[in-house]
Amino acid sequence: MNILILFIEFFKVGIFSYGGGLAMLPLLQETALDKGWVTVTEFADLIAISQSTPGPIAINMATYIGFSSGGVFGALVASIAVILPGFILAIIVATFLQRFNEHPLVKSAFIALKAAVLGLVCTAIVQVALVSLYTVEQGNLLRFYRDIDFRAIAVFLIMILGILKFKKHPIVYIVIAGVAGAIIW
Amino acid sequence: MNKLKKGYVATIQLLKKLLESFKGFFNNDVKKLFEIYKSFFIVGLLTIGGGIAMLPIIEKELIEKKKWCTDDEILESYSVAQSLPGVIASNTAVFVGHKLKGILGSIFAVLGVISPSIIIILIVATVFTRLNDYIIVQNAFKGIRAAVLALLVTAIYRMIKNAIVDYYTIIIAGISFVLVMGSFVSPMLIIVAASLVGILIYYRRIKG
Repeated sequence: MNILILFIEFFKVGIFSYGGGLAMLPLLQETALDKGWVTVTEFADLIAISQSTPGPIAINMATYIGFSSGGVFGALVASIAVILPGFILAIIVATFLQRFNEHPLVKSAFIALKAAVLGLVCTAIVQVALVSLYTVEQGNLLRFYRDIDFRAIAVFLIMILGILKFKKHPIVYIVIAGVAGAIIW
Repeated sequence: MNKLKKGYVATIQLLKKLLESFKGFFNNDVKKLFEIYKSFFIVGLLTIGGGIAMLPIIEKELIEKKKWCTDDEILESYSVAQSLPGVIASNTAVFVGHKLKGILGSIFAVLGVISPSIIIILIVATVFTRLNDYIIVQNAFKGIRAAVLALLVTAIYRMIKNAIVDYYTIIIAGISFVLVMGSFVSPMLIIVAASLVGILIYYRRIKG
């Protein structure tokens, strides 16, 4: 039963995510938190793990969440389910509609879709910000100044500068921040 | 009688030939499918971080090494893959696999791309659940979370440049954010609604 729910939920995520890894975050987050598969903090850690291990981020996240809620079989089911809608549509497109992405209907839908996805990704980022910049498990915006973790803010700002200045691979920043975190906390 | 015998022998030989050619065809097919799987396994393994990072690897594996397809074919597959739901890397694999060997080619390509993820994440997840009991690891992850936030914020900056093209798009992004942030609607509903709104606003303009 649990496996069936995993399959359905990840299949849904696979249907509604447009624009790759980043666009999948809000959907994965909503699903995983809603079903109680991971906590908000675990989800933020998961993004780091998925970004710094081989393979597409979205598949890594699906595999991890599937594994934590349904073992090895759960991991397989979640990864297959998340790619299945795209797989079916891609086969149809490859067979019948070679130039489908140049159709005015698709193009016009996509302009608004990109903007909407941007808004959705921002919601996911706010969640990550809440767990990464607060000293308590679930930060409260009203007690902003009391629970805020200034060490985290410092790491965050230094990383922003580093990313903009050096443009290295994400792994580099994740490793540096991990070492720094182990030292300063 | 003799004629009959000759005909019979000829038929048997024809059948034998057919069977042999079918065998050869089958062997070649299976070999090719496993080669597709292997190539895409390498693509999945070497693509760290996903998205556009996979393109140079695909180029090296499929164009330079195997000479299976051209640059243009890969780029076209990638751009169509982006406009389909799901994971861009696996959608790209479906298109390229389909070009090489039809639906079976697609299946083997996709399985190849996701295999490394599954193997590695299973190992990492097992190790991480054990490591997470150590205070030093928890502290490392405090730093890592701040870095993840920084990476997401800089990625969003790039997304904004790509997605915000006029006043409508600002409004659409804003409304989507508020509705989902306040838990008023599911992100999935936003996706459906946005597609329809896009068609309503832009279809005429694009059609010319």
